Amino acid sequence: MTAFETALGLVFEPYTLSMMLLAGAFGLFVGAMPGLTATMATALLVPVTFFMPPVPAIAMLVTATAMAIFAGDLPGALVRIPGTPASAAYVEEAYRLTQKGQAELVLGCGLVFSVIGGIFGSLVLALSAPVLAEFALGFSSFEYFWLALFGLSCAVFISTGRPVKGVVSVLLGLALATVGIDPTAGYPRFTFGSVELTGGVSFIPAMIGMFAMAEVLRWVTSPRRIEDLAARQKLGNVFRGQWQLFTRYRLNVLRANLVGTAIGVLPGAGADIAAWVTYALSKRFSKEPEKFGTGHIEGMVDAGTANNSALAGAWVPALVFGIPGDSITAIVIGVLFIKGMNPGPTVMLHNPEFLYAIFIIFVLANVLMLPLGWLAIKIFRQILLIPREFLMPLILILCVVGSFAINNSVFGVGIMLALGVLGWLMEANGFPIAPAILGLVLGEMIESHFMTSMIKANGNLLAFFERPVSAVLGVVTLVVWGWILLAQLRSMRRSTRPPHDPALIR
Amino acid sequence: MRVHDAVLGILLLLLAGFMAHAAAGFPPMPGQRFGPALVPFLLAAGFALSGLVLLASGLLSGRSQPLVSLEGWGEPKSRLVDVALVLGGLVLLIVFWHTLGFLISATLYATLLAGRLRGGRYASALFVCAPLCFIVDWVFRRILLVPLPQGPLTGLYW
Repeated sequence: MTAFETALGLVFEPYTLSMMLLAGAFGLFVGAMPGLTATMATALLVPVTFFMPPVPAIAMLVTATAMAIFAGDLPGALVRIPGTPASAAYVEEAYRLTQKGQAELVLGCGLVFSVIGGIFGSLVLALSAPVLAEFALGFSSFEYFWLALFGLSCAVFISTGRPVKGVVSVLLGLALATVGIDPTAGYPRFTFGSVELTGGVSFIPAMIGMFAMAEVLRWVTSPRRIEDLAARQKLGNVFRGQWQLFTRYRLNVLRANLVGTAIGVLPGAGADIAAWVTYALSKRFSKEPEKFGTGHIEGMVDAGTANNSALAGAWVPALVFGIPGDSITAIVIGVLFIKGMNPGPTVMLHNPEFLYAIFIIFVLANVLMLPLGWLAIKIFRQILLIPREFLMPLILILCVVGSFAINNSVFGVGIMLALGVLGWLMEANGFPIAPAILGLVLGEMIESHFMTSMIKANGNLLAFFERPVSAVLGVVTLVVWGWILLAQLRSMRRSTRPPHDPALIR
Repeated sequence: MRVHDAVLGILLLLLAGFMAHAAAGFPPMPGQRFGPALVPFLLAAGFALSGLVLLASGLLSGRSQPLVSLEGWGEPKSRLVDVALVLGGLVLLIVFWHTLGFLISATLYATLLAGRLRGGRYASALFVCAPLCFIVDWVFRRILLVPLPQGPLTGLYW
């Protein structure tokens, strides 16, 4: 039996399929609830996946995230609140179309083009991952060091707000990763005598805290009102008019697929960045740019396609190099390690059936999105009626259980609480969260490759540029850092300009 | 909760000082020029530089921004109580984790929080939260075999 046939057998088991259906429903629910993100859906599912074989566990995570990204369009279109950050780019457009009575077209567009984007991204993943994995087999510690640093640099580069805050966020993640036994000499660092800290800051409670708990704290401190346009909308056949949209905007769809997947592949950038970039590109190259922002479907076609294609794209660096493409794959990498399927270039040699299973799951999850998404659109109004005052305490309880379950220790709950508060304060002060998480995930990898390289080169930093691939990666990373520095200098110059500067009064 | 950039800069400088001080005490690796202290030192340098940038930009922007503000909180006093309840409740949950067990402590916590968020309607909160916590306890303890503590309910079978 070939690896592909084994993978088919693993995916099409009734247990895996039923878990995918459950995860799909969960992902749709979380994505459709304003304020709850796809990353949060993944983080909350992790404790459940501990107790499963690898393939159903991964199937759950893939299905839940794909559904959550699509479902983020629902509250965006009907109540003007993006369900997930990946839908934020076109929420205004979607809402204005709904106000014009075109909710049916908007929601259908969100569903159909999410599926198209998701399937395209899955195909790119299936075709590129094995080729890249073979190429990466020749990598040494120098290349891995630069690649991981490049990923972190991209996370700072693309984060919104001031670059210095992105840098601080990365540094915080890396600093958290230094807690525990040092990977080279085996010396315990920053453990303050705690036995539990010698194992380091547990990754899953940190994630749950920084994404899920911080989200709850943000909701608790924000004004709570939901405008109910949803109740006034009539939703018939949401697939009507989608073929016409596809033929009219086929070039947009192709461009959005390519750009979305490429952004997903880039370490550190995910679905939300893909949506913003493709929306901007759509407007830039549109024949009717003046219609953007007034309730025009074109930008939504582009961004709705791109955010789902980026989702699969983000798995390419995660599987091939062990470097997460976005915050969701950062969590997934943790799960893969727990399941003993260490991601990296050798995954194709040691676990080919597992890799094929992931490709099949991606395509299947996107196909499943059509019936499940249709159902979600139909029952969405009921989902919105669930009082957030009950939901938020329940999410906190799930956060507690999830953090406890990783080591069956209440210490994990403490980590979740501390990092939840840190994540909440960071975001309130303009520090992006994703770079901190990437820093925490990649910290040990960067340090061990850096120290190995330093020992190999006897401290000669020029050795980091001696191998061709390493030199290219090194130069590209340094260019990104130069860019970040320039952006910071520009931002400081702007903030010191006198207030009567006409550039500030716009 | 927004904090002035200059204050954030000072906090980062303190963090850098702490990391550098702790790293100075790490032993070197035998036969090598660098050891476990190298990366923490580099990170401390990064924190110090970023702290200086934030301090400088904070000082340049002056006192137009308060040192700490609760901007965008709606009713700050009421929200502060909500935040205190979320965080304080979690601390108590950790403290009484083994004594009260998961089901009792989680039900109390969720009910108090939901009741407060619903403007003091604790009875309806209990009506919803108790079954929800029971389901979470049952799924994780019985199906997923997570050893959640049962406290005084130990020995009862469900």
